[in-house]
Amino acid sequence: MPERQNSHGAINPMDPMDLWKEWNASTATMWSIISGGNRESFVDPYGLYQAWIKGVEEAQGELKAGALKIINPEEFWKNWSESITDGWRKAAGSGTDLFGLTARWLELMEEARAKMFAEGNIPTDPFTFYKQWYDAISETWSKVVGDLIGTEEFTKASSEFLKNYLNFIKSSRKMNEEYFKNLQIPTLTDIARVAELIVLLEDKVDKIEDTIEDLSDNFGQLATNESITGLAGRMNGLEQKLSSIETVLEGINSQSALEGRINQVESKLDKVLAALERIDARSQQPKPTTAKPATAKPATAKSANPAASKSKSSAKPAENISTSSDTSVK
Amino acid sequence: MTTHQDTLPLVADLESTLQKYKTGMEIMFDGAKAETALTPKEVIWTKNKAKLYRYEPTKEKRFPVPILLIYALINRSYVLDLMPNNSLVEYLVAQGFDVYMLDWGTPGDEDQHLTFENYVLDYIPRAVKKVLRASHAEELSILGFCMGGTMTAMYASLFPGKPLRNLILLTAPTDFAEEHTGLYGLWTNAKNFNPDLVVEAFGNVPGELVDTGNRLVKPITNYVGTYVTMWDRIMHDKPMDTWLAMNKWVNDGVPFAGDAFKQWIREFYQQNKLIKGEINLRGRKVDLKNITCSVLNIGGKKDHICTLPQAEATMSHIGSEDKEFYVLNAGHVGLLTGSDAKRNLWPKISSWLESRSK
Repeated sequence: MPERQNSHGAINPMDPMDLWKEWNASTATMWSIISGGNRESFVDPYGLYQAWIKGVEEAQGELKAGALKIINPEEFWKNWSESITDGWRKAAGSGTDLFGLTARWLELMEEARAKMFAEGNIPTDPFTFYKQWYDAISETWSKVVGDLIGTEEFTKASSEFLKNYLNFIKSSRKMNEEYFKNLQIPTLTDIARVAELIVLLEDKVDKIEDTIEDLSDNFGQLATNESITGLAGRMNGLEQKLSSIETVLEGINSQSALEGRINQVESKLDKVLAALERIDARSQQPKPTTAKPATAKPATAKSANPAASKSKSSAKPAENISTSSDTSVK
Repeated sequence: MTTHQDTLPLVADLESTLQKYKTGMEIMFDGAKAETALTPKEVIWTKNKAKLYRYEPTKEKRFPVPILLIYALINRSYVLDLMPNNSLVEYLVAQGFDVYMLDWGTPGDEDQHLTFENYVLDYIPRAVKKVLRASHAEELSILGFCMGGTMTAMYASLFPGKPLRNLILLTAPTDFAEEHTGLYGLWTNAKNFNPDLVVEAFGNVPGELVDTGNRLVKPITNYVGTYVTMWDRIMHDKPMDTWLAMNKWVNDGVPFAGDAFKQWIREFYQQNKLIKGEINLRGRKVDLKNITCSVLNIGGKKDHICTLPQAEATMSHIGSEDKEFYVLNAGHVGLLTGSDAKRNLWPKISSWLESRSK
């Protein structure tokens, strides 16, 4: 739909008559498509109903004229159904029968009428009669309509109708929006925009509530006796495990210390051995005449068998060896 | 042969007949009036137009796992709590379940941009949290009806494992292949129907328009048969309560949020993306294989809104080991209410849940 602007740039609201003309043109086009014509051959969309109504009016006149003759309900219903069927017969013959639906409906009516009256058990009250009549035709009629609305042709026609209808609605809404905008009155869109802001705000509040609830739940859990007892138990377990680890570590430390001390002892033994070897070497040299045998005797006895001396020393505890070697070297 | 005396009752009961006629015409013109959704409840959470109801227990809670009912975006949720003695909600409460229901409410013009992302990723998870909090539970069961079932299946796929323990899909379509969707498939086919045009014209799709589409699937039954039944009941002094409640519900459509409608038609009906695992909600792929909880899937043989194959397809696409497809000889709404529902559907749901809600 083209938008029209006045000299001030404001959009003029559309003339309602234009809208109705568009609506009429749209629907007429739609009916034209349904009835197999083209877009240019417009038909009266209400032609079928007008034909039917005219037929019924004539039938009603006949019915009224003979009303006094009606004595029993069976006679009455026969007249009624004949009148209705006749109305449809005329509509079917009017040339505006879409999809042949009226003709099929007429067939159905006649079939149902024949069936009901053949059984001969016609109810006295109108509602029971209508119910029986509906029961007689509903299944077949549902199938007829179901077959029709399941066709591509019907779907295509409905689709066209819907498109036109939606265009009309869209134009109408747009026109109303523009009209109220020109009057500087808030429109539905304006109100929806404000409402959307409120919804977003509410959404934020909801998220805050959610977060607070989560925090509150967690805080509540910590504060319960049960959870504290549980934590205390877990801490005891942790402490026990830590003690075990400490013990193991201590064991590892004492082994390292022993190793160090053995190394020290070994190094000292090496020094003792070197000292003994030097003494032994000196003892192999010719004795000076001035030497005093009393001081050299124990040393000579030791150096006579240095290996045995070393072996013996190694077997002794470290402290003892260390002390003796120190004194012997010095 | 009918005698003259047969016509006498017509005259004698003229006043009564006129009164009945008046009653019928009032319903025809003013719509059916009935007291519905009467099971006592409280609102425990709201978000935008959505409300989360908790139904007041009538007896001691027998099962620690609560059940959340999720309704569709079409018509109103009270069909699950239609009227006293004809209500699935009332029945479940009486069995000792802690029952909740998520009612989507009536979208306004400001809600045109709501999508399935909002419903499945924002609303349902939040409602689930609220249910768990209110019932002090760690797990729950969810029952999704119709489109609500489809949304629930998507939720279950995106949030597998805890807290969802049991899933009941009640006439919930997941496969929208044209051969399964009947007239809907034909009418919503991409070459015949462009959902964008509807949304451009209306914003939100009016409930009446959706309702017309649903009624046209069975026009004679829906437009004529319903009122034949009404007159029959009025004229023969048969109980009208259920008819009135159901008719009120049928005519009580709510608008379908515009953007969600476009998704529903395009991605589900026209492209059948859900069953193919091609639905993406905010970049998260919806794969039905991810559903591993216990599943009870229910379909109706006479259902023309969610046909049997549309519901049955779920069975071969979910990853659950504990799953059952239960078929009822009923239509889309007929299986929910009435004497058949009392005999079949309600006890089935209750017994299936009982063993899985301890």
